[in-house]
Amino acid sequence: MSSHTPSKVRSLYKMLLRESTKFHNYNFKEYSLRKVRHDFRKNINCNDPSRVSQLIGEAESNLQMLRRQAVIQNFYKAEPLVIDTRKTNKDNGLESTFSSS
Amino acid sequence: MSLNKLSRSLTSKFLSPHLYGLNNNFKRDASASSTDGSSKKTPQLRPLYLDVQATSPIDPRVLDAMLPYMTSYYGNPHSRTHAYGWESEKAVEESRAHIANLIGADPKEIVFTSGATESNNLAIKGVANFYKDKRNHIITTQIEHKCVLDSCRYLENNGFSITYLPVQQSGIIDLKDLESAINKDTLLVSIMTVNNEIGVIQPINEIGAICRKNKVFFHTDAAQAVGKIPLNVESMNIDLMSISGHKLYGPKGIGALFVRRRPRVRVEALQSGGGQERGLRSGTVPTLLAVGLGSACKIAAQELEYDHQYISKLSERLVNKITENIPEVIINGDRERSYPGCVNMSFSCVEGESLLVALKEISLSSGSACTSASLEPSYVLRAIGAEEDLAHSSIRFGIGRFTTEAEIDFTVERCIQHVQRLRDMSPLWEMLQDGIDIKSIQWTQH
Ligand SMILES: Cc1ncc(COP(=O)(O)O)c(C=O)c1O
Repeated sequence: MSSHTPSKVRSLYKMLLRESTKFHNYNFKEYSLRKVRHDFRKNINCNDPSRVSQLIGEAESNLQMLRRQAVIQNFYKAEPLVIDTRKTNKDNGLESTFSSS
Repeated sequence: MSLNKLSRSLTSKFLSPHLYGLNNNFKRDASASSTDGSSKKTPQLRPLYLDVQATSPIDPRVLDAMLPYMTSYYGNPHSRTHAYGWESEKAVEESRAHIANLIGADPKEIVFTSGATESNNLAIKGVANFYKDKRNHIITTQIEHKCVLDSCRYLENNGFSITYLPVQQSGIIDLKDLESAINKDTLLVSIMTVNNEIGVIQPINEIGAICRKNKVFFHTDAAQAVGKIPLNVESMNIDLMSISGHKLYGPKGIGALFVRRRPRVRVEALQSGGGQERGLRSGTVPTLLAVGLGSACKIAAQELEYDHQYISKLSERLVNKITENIPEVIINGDRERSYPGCVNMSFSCVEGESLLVALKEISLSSGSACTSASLEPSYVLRAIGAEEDLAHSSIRFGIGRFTTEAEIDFTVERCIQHVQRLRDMSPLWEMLQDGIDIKSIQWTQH
């Protein structure tokens, strides 16, 4: 494994999370955050170099997909859900941890 | 005066879209975004979506796969003479392979259709028409989707004899009933995998084995099952399987029919035309929708286990919290043998439609996915032997890939509150609390 890999993975992980929070759609945002965290945790101990580079490739294309979709989906925003308001504070917190890091 | 009838006609008025101003959605949206900061009006909020059996949202990954075919790559997949055709054809064939892979089939066995309704029609009428001179008996169940029942009804009017198997209280058929219904004229058995109203899973493995042993074709409507539970057409001896795009986070207007090639199942096409899809379904395959279905199946194959685990957890949370907090709740269908993402409950003395009106912050359905405009009691609930009043009081909770724990908790909270409120107003509930057997009361009018 190249010595750059851990930092590369960490930055990919952060970018995936940050991109997920950009979904206006509550359900897509929550799913995306949950899924990114899950996949990351599932593979955290993986040290087979070819598997790692495969996972990095997948994460990179997922990141591209999230970037496109967050933009496109947000052109067609619906009103927030009845429970959305409860969530705002927590989400803002998440956003700010990333923007400050 | 029948209280029931009065309240039903009232609720049907309340359920009209005008009440929610839904037909003004876009106008309202536009005006909302143009309001200046001075107005502190609470913003319009959308209800939660817990009706995933009716249709599911399109997964953003699916939309992402479809967009190129809605923009740059618009060729006709059947064009043989240029790159526009070839690139579309390649995309369609890749999608076919993803669908086949999800159910353990060969890509050549997958026919694109417009949805599970068409797949069911094609399977049932197509097989019946092809073999009608040889055999003319079909077996199905009483809890099938309308499109299966109506296809059978149509064949019944055209000289076929149909057996509608009853189901047990669990919602599951008795395999002995199936075996004894098969005779030398039996051509086809059509039994759904997962029921769309109560979520019960039929014993497909056993049914497949019985059909194969008796040399009878086996069709299953798997619209609610594909991508949700593991399915394999080989090990389950399935000869025909209907799939719908919009039940597994794909687009509406696309579906597929699996038609076995070995041993071969012959199907007569329903429509004439250019002979696409090996002559079984003429008409240009809508590339972008086919890509959507393929992508949805590819994702489902990767996520099935994860989704199932997650949905089971939410389902358990919903059922536990409701049953712990509300007395006299009936869960329709055997939980142990159901898909956890479909929970159908009846609350004694609470009419389903009234509860739906009260729970306007949550998009739920009182049973059948596609014909929920009707206020008839569900034939599925009747088939499992639910009393008329309970059949009227059922609510279906649909939990999917995008449902959150917070949504479940909100739903539970509202349910507890409104069931309690409606019961407090109900003379029937009062009688029940006083120990009066409601069934013993003589009603003047039904
Ligand atoms: C079990 C079942 N079969 C068939 C259908 C119809 O599917 P489609 O809308 O794709 O025609 C549905 C959807 O309501 C269903 O739940």
